[in-house]
Amino acid sequence: MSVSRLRLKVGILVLLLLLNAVLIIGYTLVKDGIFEKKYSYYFSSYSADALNVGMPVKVSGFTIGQVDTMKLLDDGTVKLSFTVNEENQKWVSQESLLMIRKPLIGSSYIILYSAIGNPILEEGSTIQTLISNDINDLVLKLEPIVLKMENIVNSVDKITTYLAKDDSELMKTVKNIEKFSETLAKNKSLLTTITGDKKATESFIKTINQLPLLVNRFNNISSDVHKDILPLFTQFVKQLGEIAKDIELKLKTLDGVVNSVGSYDKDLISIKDQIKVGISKSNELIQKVDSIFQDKKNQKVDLP
Amino acid sequence: MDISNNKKESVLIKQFLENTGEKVIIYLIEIYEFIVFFLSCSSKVFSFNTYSEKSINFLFEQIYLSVVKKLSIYLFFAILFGSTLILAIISMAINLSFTENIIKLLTSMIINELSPIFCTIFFILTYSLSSHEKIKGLKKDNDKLIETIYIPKIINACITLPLISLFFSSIVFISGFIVSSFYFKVDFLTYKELVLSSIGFKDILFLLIKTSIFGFIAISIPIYFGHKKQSEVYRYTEFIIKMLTIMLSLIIIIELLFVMILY
Repeated sequence: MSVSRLRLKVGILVLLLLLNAVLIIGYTLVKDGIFEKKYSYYFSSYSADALNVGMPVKVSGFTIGQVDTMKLLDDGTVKLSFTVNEENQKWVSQESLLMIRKPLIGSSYIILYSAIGNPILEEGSTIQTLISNDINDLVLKLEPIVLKMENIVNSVDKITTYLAKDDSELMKTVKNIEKFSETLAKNKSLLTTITGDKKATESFIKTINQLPLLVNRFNNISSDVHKDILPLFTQFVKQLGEIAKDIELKLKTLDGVVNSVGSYDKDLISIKDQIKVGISKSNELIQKVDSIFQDKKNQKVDLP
Repeated sequence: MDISNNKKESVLIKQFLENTGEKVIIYLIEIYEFIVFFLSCSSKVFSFNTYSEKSINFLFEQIYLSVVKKLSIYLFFAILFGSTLILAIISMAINLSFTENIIKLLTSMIINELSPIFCTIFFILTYSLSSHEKIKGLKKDNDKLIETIYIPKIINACITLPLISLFFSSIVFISGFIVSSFYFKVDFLTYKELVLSSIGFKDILFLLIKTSIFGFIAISIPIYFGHKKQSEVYRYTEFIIKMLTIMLSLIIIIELLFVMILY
């Protein structure tokens, strides 16, 4: 490669690199506002805690300037200065206020509450400052809540102490429940516990077991029986029961009579007659019931 | 028996101390020679009489060899890093709602750490490490070594390395913007607010100063080793490893110093 060609290539590249460097340096200088005129303002704080050089000054969340200097004065207060550029100087108007915000999370910043419409504040003026300390505010707000919480905890402590005593209502109830559960554990079933009789329980269980069968039968019958017949049928059944009881009594009497067969012929004959009457009555009644089931039209039954 | 053992031990301790002392003296003399050599070189950098036609031609040649010839590789790596790192930064910023400070930190890491270190290591491996061997050949037919060879090499390293490093950063950010505009549909104003606004003049200044120092270290060690070498019989690999160790150690020390100053 010839020297002139080499020089040309190197020259182009060096120019490109220099141009790139100039553009980047120029961009950063303009962006950082090196060439802009700056206006300084002052404010004071009782402490430099959470304050530092370079912290932003914001208006409506936008950074318009930053803290430049911090100085401890003889009276113990801290004097700070911040600068804004020409574009943002309009926000620093007369009667504007600064608030040093110390949030619970994140770094501190300064909010400028601008009095819009007022004339621009003269450079070098001092602005009044408020301090918003989220941590201290939170502690102040939490203080009454903590006191209330303390009272609640004391009350809960008293209640639990009373309840823990042997003669307290709760302890008595617990003892009763204990007894009840003990009884439950000893007996075979809950039903035995309620009724207090094992036999009753067994018969009840048997009845319950038979109940589905009966219910099925009753369902079959009831499907054929008209609703109006049911009250009459119930009445007939009651009467039949009474007759059956009567027969039972007489049979018992007969049982005694049978024992002395022979000597009481007259009694026997009279009883037999009575039985015959009873049976004929019951036959009549059954026939009538049968006729009801066979002929639904004639639903009336005359009682014997 | 005990007396002879004690004598042996004392001889061994004496030998150990002598060897340690000898090494320390050798290294101190080497450091002293190194400083004297580069002070004499540096003093001539600012002298107008140093620059002759021959030295300027040699400077052009060195710029061509170190940067122009390897520009495509610099561009390739810059695009590769830019498209991946900037994409990762923007992805984090969008998905994780990263704060302004973290974006600023990551962006300044590209300018202050990635770009200078990558360019310096690339410069060492592709150009400066072979300098000592070339100097060995040039020494035979050149009586004005410092003016015609060493100073153009030092100037090349101290000027072109910062410039190429800044160019590398620019390509990283440009490629980052192109890829993120395709991938995340990020427009230029958003990109400017998110990434470019995080770059400050201080970062650029630190990059230029740091890479300039790195460049000086990267070229001065091979020049010194090439200049010092008298014997024809030497172990090439041993020399390379020794030079690399010294260069990287010095770069790390300088890097740590800058980190302490910057952060």
